[in-house]
Amino acid sequence: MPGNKKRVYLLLAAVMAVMVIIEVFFAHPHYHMIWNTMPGFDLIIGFAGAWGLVIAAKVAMAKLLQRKENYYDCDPSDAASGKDGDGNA
Amino acid sequence: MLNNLHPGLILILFGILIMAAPEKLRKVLMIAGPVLAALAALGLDGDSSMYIDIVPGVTLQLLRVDRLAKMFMVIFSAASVIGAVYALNSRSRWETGFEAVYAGSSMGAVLAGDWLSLIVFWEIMAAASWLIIMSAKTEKASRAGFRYLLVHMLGGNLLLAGIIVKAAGGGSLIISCLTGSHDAAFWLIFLGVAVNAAIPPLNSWISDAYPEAPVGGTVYMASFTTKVGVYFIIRLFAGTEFLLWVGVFMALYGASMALIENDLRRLFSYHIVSQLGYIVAAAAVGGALGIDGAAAHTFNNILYKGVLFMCCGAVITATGKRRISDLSGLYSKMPLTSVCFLVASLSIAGFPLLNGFVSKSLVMNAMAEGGYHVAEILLMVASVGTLLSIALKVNYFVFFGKPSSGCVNQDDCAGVCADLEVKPVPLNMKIAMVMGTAGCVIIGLMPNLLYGLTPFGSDGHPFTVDHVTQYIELFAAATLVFVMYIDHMAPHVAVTLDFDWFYRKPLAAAVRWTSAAVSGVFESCGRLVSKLVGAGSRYLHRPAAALEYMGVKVPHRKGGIEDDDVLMKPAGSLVAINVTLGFIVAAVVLVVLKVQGVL
Repeated sequence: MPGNKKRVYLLLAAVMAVMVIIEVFFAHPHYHMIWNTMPGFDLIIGFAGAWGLVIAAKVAMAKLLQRKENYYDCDPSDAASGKDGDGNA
Repeated sequence: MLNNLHPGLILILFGILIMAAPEKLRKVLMIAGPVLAALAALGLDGDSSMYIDIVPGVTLQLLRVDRLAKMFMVIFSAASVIGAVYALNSRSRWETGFEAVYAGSSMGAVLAGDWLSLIVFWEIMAAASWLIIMSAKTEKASRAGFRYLLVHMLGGNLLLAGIIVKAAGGGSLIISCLTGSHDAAFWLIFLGVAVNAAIPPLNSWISDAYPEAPVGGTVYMASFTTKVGVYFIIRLFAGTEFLLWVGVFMALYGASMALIENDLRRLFSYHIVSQLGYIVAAAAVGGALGIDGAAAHTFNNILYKGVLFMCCGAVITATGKRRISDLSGLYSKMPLTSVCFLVASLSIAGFPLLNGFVSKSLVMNAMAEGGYHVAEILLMVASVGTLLSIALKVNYFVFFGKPSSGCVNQDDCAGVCADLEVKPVPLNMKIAMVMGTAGCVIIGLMPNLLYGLTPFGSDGHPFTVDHVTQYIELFAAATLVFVMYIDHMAPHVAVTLDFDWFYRKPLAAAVRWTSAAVSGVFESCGRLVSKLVGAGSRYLHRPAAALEYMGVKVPHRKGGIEDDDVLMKPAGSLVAINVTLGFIVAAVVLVVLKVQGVL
């Protein structure tokens, strides 16, 4: 739904802008790494992290690790006894 | 006197009574047991003690209480009360009884002062949790329960082996920190504890077994086994540096697996692994901040994870469905469950003003203070993954998204989602969900209640501007990615392979082949022996046949003694009987002569 998506993007952009402004004027970071001191750096971590996780999970892990739902149910003992995965004859 | 009551033993006793009691009394006992145990737990202090002499010279210390144990007892008591309220509508005496025994044994393990007491409660915990799974009474639960039992027996035996090695080396039987001692006992005990703490590759029993347990049982199991595991990671291995990277891997791995998972309870099981990652990482950093962070996060984890599993159980009870792809738009039909789920899912992600945020502050402060900046960033990414896979994915696809006119997977459920029949959720389940959710909100708003319970009383300073803006920025950016890829975020009907693949496929095949080979050898031996016996018996029946085989001609006589009824038995048998009788007579004669003193 493009209309809904646009509204969500605008809302997120507003939230991000407000947070960065608050950081610039009111934050007194206790630690001094760049993500603590540079306003808005957490947006980069959040975006890059989320994008990386989505790509890793949905592209690599899904292809590598996902099988048909009855993958484990097709063992020889079931086939021999004529049972399905739930053990029903 | 009141500080010497053992809450674990009280719950175990009530568990046995619950199994024996009629239904109405059972419901009273289900609530009375956890409430009495909670009162006993609140009464515990540093002076609490309970000793039992099992054999002369060996004394079990069943009660040893410090601030860490007391903190775990507070949350274990709360979890057992909430769990009992949630399971109140269960009609299974075995399930509810085993749940109480299981909770009691978990408390017993936490309070144990010596290794022997620990292993006893540890094994009761494993057996009781296995029986909870089995009480689902389905073929899948039975199989998953068998695998669960195998893994936990392995863990228990490794722990026992470590304790024996420690005792044999002259070590004390009193439980003490093992950090820094990388001997055989250290590794054996670590592996035993790692099974319960779900440290990869020993993690997959959670996602394998928890989804098959009864809905009330899963709520209990999510609260105790893994938490006892991390309690001993904190108590025994705090400050063990390599665990930092193990914890970070767990946090990311659990969140990534949850992103592609379709089964609700399997998804939450991966989040158990992910959240345990934070706890293990904080414990690995050690020091006051690390230990407090690990303990506080465990405390909060039990609360929000309990609510998530309770909401999931409510959905399964109401709809009979457990896959995300079979569900949509439940908010209109289950508003209370949806709101409780929303709060708990934001809590687990670490949203400000909820309890996950206040304990994550401690964990992240521990990373920053310890100088572990890479770990700090990776744990932030794991938080983003948690937000994506629970707070956004489940809330959107199951509760708050528009009800779909058909399922995501049309082939699979023939488009029943929009017309999904939703039964009412029992009142006791609703009360339990609200109790847990209230806990998440209260601690989120008043974090000092939690910080005051931690072993060292560390303050996470959660509500500083930089902390709050940090998490809102992380989550806003992650939501942006979710919306960008929303068409790809819906899960598929599939099974996700995990480390359990190794014992469900190759190991199972190896066992099948080995047993087939062994039984093949036995069968061949049996056939050979029976052939030999068959051939031999021919000659025993008729010794003359042996002479005939050697070419000697044996005359066949008719009449004579062979016509006598008594002597119609085969000649070989007669010889065998005579020889046996001869031996018996000879033995009797020898004994008599010996008694008479002749020999």
